[in-house]
Amino acid sequence: MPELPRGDHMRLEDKIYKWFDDRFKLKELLTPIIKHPAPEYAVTNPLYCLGGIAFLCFLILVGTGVFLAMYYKPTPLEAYKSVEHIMTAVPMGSLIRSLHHWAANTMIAAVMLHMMRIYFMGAYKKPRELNWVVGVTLLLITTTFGFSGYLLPWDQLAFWATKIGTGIAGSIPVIGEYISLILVGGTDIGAETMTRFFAIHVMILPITIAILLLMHFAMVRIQGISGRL
Amino acid sequence: MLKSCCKTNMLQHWSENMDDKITFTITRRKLTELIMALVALFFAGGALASILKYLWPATSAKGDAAEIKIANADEVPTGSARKFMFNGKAAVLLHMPAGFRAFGSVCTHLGCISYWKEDEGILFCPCHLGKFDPNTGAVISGPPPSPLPAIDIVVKEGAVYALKWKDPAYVRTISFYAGAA
Repeated sequence: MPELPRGDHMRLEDKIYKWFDDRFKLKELLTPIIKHPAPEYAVTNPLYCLGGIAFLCFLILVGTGVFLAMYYKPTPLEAYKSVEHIMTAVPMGSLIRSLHHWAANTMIAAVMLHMMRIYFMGAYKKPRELNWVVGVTLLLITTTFGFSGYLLPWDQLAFWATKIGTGIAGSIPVIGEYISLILVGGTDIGAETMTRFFAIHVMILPITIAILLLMHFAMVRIQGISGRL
Repeated sequence: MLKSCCKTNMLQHWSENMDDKITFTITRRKLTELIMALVALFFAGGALASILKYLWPATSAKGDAAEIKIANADEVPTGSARKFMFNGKAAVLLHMPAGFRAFGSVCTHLGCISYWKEDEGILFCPCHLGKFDPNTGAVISGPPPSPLPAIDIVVKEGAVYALKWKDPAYVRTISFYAGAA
């Protein structure tokens, strides 16, 4: 016969939950956020998972990125050596870096596919126009993440890819020259470029993407997801 | 959580009849929960250990020149081989007609372990059929992009000792790409 929990017979986890619930109204505030039904057509269709897959990749990237930052040294002398050290000497370092690498590639693919799904299903239409704008901005941020992370290992591939990338930015009419100057931190790719790209990759972009993701999710929650055409 | 379900308050017990027996009721559900909790703890411990291992500073990098004894020379007759570990990587000692040879046996293709195949007289990687020359470590056939790294050895007092990688920089490069850290 299962007994009903009385005050002094509650299980420990119930007690802990109650302690917080008494102080923060967990049940009242969290229930509508956590327990909201998603429409049937969205639950059963994998196309609706693409945004979530991209977000999962982002979470993996945050975790592995933090671990990589423990060993990475953003200077021309040390960068390649520190990456080599992560790959060859640090226990599970190659796993962490490979996860970061693949999650990055997967995230860009998932974001692109997510955008295509939204476009072809017409989910960007009224009232969701602003969320489309935020989403496209997120795509740009994601690709910038990829581009800035590309330089950090400081090998031949990284150097020339950055040369081309900053060259493309520099070819924009009128303002291109200044954009390139700000990105490169000088006239040629060197130590300044490294530290700048590192700052962009681990500080500026993460903060930006976090804010935009919050907006993105909040809008989805406020507006609900669109039905089929 | 495990919580003893004392049927009555212990103090009460004490005062009533000096009977200091404590009764636990263990239900099947409780036992199952406990076992599941232990399994969860096991996995969580593994994850935590991995994280700590990653963050733990390397104690020293002196492993590069540590002289280790592989085997007694008479234990490895001509035409046979002996596996051993060198600086945390799989390695193999070969006794060729021309003398002793030692190589790191981590295949340069994708990091499987190649082994001495006596009937063909080659070092063979079973994953994608890579074949290496046992005298030089050079690639004979298959997908490996570069030779196996040689290990400097010395034979003294009837035993074979491994000294160091012949080319430490090369070893770093291949472990970078074969992902065999």
